[in-house]
Amino acid sequence: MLVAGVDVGAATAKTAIVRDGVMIGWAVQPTGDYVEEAANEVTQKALEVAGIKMADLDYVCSTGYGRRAVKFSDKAISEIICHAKGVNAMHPQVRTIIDIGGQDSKVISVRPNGTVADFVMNDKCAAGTGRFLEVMAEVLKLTIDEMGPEALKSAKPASINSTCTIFAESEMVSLRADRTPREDMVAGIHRAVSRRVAIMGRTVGYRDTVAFTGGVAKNIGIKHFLEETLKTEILVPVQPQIMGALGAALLADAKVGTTDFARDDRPKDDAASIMQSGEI
Amino acid sequence: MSVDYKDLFEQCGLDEAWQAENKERIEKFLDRIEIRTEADMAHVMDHFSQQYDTSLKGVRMMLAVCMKETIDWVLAGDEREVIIQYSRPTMGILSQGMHVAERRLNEEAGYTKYFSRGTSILMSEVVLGTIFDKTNELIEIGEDMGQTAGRGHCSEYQVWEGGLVRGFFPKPTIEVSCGFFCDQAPEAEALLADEFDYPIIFTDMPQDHQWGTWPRIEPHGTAFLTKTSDDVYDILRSQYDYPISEDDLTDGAIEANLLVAKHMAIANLIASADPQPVSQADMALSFWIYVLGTVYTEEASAAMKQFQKDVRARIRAGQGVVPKGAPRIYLSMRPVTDFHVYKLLEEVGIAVPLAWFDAFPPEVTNFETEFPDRPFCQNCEIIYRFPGMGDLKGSSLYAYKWVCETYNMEGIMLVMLIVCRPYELPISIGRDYMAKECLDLPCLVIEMDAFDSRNYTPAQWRTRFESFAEVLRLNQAMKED
Repeated sequence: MLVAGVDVGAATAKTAIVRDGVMIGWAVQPTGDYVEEAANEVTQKALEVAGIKMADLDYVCSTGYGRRAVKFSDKAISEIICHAKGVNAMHPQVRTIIDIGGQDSKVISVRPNGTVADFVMNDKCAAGTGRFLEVMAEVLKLTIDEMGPEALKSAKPASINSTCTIFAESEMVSLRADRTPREDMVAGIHRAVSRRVAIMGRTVGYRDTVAFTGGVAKNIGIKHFLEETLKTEILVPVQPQIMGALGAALLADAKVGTTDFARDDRPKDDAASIMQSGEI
Repeated sequence: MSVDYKDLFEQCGLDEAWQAENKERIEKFLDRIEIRTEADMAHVMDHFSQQYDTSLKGVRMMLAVCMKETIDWVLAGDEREVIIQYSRPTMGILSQGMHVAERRLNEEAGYTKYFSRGTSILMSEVVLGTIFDKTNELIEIGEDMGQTAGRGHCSEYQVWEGGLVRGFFPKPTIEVSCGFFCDQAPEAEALLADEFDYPIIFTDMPQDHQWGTWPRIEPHGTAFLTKTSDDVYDILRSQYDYPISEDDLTDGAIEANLLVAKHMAIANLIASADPQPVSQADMALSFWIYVLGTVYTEEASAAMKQFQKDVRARIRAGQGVVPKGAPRIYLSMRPVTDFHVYKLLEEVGIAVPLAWFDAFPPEVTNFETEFPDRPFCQNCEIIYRFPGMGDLKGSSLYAYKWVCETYNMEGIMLVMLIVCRPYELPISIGRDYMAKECLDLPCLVIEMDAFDSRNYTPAQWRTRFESFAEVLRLNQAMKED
């Protein structure tokens, strides 16, 4: 069976092509302004890598915030389920997943069979997400890729008191005025994000092995401070961004997700005729 | 020139004859709440249609009760000589006596002299929110007046203040403020009374009974609650020409308990059905009527009876708002001004057979009373035993466990009610408690503001709900395997 899993997140779109349970191609690109186009483009790229065409696919599963906008998808599944499945396929020993994406973060407790036992997500706030790091990188005139290595240079991370992206930006101004070394500021930012996510996940509980996925998992600074906070070694999959897409592809046969993207099977009595009957 | 309200009012169970009889009142009411143009009404119809299923006759009849209560309240300043607002008992089993007294005293006076209700603010918030989509506007006014989150205590009072500023709500002759559920309420109400210059008196209760004693609670707590209520009635009698009688209180207690029984019967019916036959958005009307009580007791009773018939008809027809076999969860709280959360849960295929206060452990209502001679006092005792009143483990958390086990729930959604400290507290330890006491019962915690729907994040809620639904379905599939 040839399946595509398409994960359209707030920041990036990802597609994994899976043949009989084995990943044969994948691609990642920014989501941009147009979700449907991004899904199309990233899937075409993944298909090229795999050396096949769209028509060859037996099934397409979509996930991520944009899952319902993927018009060529046969089924939509929420990303939490997909991340658990994808990570479980690659690393079956993992029991806890920390996923930090562009605009949300989650901690997922995974059963040995890859199903979700429990999960928690951030709520109404960009602190503890990739977007927070992006904003801070802009303030500090660094690229996002430079942030992690810069954080690891610090021996004395600055204290970032605010958990709000906007207030933290103001704090950066104060720290710069105090001539705080840049690496200490960057480390402080990474420590703040890591602690916020780690504490959020305590309601789910951390059981080894802990994996770290999502685009932010490429950031070695966040991994370092997560390990420091949780006092455990964290596993980062080789391609942490595509775990959701891989999971979506692997869940093609599972009894989850929706095939009707606009399901509405609630009863529809003829309200008008009842009204006209004068029963009330 | 008034807007065309015929369709809305018919869908709210208020027929042509009632509309004709109350034409002037309806037009004044709509003008007062600023529904003045066809565009306003078009928005109302669109919003309203997303909240309720008015194909159900019982829903229309319950809406009629809620609308009448709200119209009475909004026009009370024009129509009544004495306005006694018993603000926050939130429980008809305490305030229904005032509704009985209002009916009796108005009948004796030969005109509608008194308005004395414990329903006005919350019932009007349900109606102004779910039907007219006006509560967020009032919250903004409350914020502009300085009742920002924290200072304003909770968004319920932002709505209230906005309503007073805009003239939606009348200034009461006397406010009876109630600290039964919350110490913030009397504080916020005292500020409002001071700001809008009307008198206020207070009832109180010791909110927490001794931890670890529930359900063997101390009788002095109930006695204190009864005494503070009796003191208030004495003040109303002596200073506000309001001769509420002991018979009114007794009749009110009995009426209220009948409404409770009717609601519980409907809840049981829904809980025993698969698929879930009606939306919790519609069931919420029955909930608010029973919880708040009403001066329109006979109509409410008939409406709930009809709704029960509607539910039965749906069950017989095998109709549901979710697919048959949808995973069942208990929802620990109900919103007041916007019922989209129920619809969102149904859309993702989660059944909510029971929600907050739809079912209680027997210890809440079935006990040997310490006060056998006085029904009003017995209802005070019930209040003291309610989930959320008193020690968390004994009442709230045990109630969650009891409902989940008794009604075979497959999950629980605990609502962190950011508007309400007493109900926020149990949730913070509820997840751990449920994990320990109900092994492997999936538990989702969400934040909600029961009054301010601007704080909802639909995209994130949808992802949470869909994921939760999938976790629940996977659990079902694993059990089948």
